[in-house]
Amino acid sequence: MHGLRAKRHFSTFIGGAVVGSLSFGIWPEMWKSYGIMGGFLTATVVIGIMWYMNHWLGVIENAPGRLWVDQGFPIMGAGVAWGVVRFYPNSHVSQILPTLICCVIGGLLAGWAAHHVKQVAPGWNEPEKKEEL
Amino acid sequence: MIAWLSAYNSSLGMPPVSVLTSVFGAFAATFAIILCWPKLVRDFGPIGGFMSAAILVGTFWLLNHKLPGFGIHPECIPDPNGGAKQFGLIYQAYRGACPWVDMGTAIACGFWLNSLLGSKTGERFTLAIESVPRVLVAVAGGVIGGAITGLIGWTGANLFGY
Repeated sequence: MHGLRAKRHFSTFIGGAVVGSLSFGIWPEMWKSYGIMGGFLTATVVIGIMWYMNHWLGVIENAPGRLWVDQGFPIMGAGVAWGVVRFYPNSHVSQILPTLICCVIGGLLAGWAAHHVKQVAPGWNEPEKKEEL
Repeated sequence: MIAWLSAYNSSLGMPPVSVLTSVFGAFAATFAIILCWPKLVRDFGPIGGFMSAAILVGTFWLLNHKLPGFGIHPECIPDPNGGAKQFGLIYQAYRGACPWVDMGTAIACGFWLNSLLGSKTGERFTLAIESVPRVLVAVAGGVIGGAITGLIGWTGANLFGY
């Protein structure tokens, strides 16, 4: 492991592997056992602690001023890979393509819309309170 | 018309209404999370992140991903017309018994495009190129983690006599 560059990729890789494993190891079991409240509990526990690790502590590399790489990317990869392995040899991989395309289109539309909404939403345009204090 | 909209369409790979619900479900979750999550973290620190995980991801998981027939109703909640119908907005082929398309896909793409649009016009290409290896490494990490997690179905262990 030489160099900061390789170490940061190593860190991103491990962060992605852990969040993918936790999401798809725990979420289905919790919702099978506890229904809707199991899903809420898993969102709180898994996404909460994994956000803390990946984005608050910065295990997934996101330098200031760079494009944001969210832990949704590893979750996307994990969801597909988990299903391919879990239901092998009847994985029906090609069946998910339409949904994947719909998700990407919806997400990109929302990113574009949010960019424009942020410019007019008062909550995103108030002056920094901390600097006044 | 209604019959065509709600019937499985082999050229789309899903019923035509599911295209609308999937795109809108992905849109709604991504929009709300991009708008709220960074603000909550700025206002409450790491506690805001935990709040966001519970309130935003929990709620949008229910909207987008809840499938019928599991949980407190393992025998399926029957539809009046028979069978168990899609419950969440994001369509899942084979009722989830195939690779899973998570709303994290939409959220990650939305955050990426949002930060791209928020950067200076002249730097966008350089920034996009810079982000590619990070995205690929993150996805590769997820693929390895998810694939290893999927292997638990291969053990063939029949626990407790089931």
